[in-house]
Amino acid sequence: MGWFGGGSSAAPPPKSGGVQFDDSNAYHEMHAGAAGMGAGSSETAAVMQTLQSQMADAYAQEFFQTVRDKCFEKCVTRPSTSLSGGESKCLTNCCDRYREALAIISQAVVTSLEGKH
Amino acid sequence: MSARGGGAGPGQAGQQPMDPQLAQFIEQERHKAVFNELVSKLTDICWDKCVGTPSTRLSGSEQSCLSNCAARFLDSSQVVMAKFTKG
Repeated sequence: MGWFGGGSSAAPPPKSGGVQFDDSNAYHEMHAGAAGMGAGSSETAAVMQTLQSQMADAYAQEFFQTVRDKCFEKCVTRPSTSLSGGESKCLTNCCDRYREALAIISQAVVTSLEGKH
Repeated sequence: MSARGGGAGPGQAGQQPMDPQLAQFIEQERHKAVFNELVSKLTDICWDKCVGTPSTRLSGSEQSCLSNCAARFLDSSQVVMAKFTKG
């Protein structure tokens, strides 16, 4: 799962051939686009890549915890000896609906902020 | 969401100055983080207010409730902010 917006909102898509790295380092080359701009040094690009992936990881973990808590609250109202079929289905739907809600809110925030500036 | 001075950026305290490209990148990431945090918080709040038992789709009224909820939260934020800054 991506960092919200999949990185597409702020970071431009990878451009091929824009960045020079030594050929021995395929890792840097593979992730050159993640930094979003032609990096002056491979060291800078590596720092950018690390930072971005750590933030994405942190976001993903927090998002998972939120969805888990929210969906448990909505779907498992009276815990019994096992999850019922209905509860499982509700949890599955809930994950998708939460993402949908996030997208709607995100759009609303963008619209709202644009309208005020 | 304006840039605050300094922030958590490394490279202060007598070290050599940060690569400007890296500084710009960190600033960008920080803005994304602020935006994402706001959206996460609003989704958290508005989900509870607007969405019933999750089914195969969000109803039209749930969708507009979410949208309105986010916008009205931001309006409310301004009202409260104005109240606080005026003392």
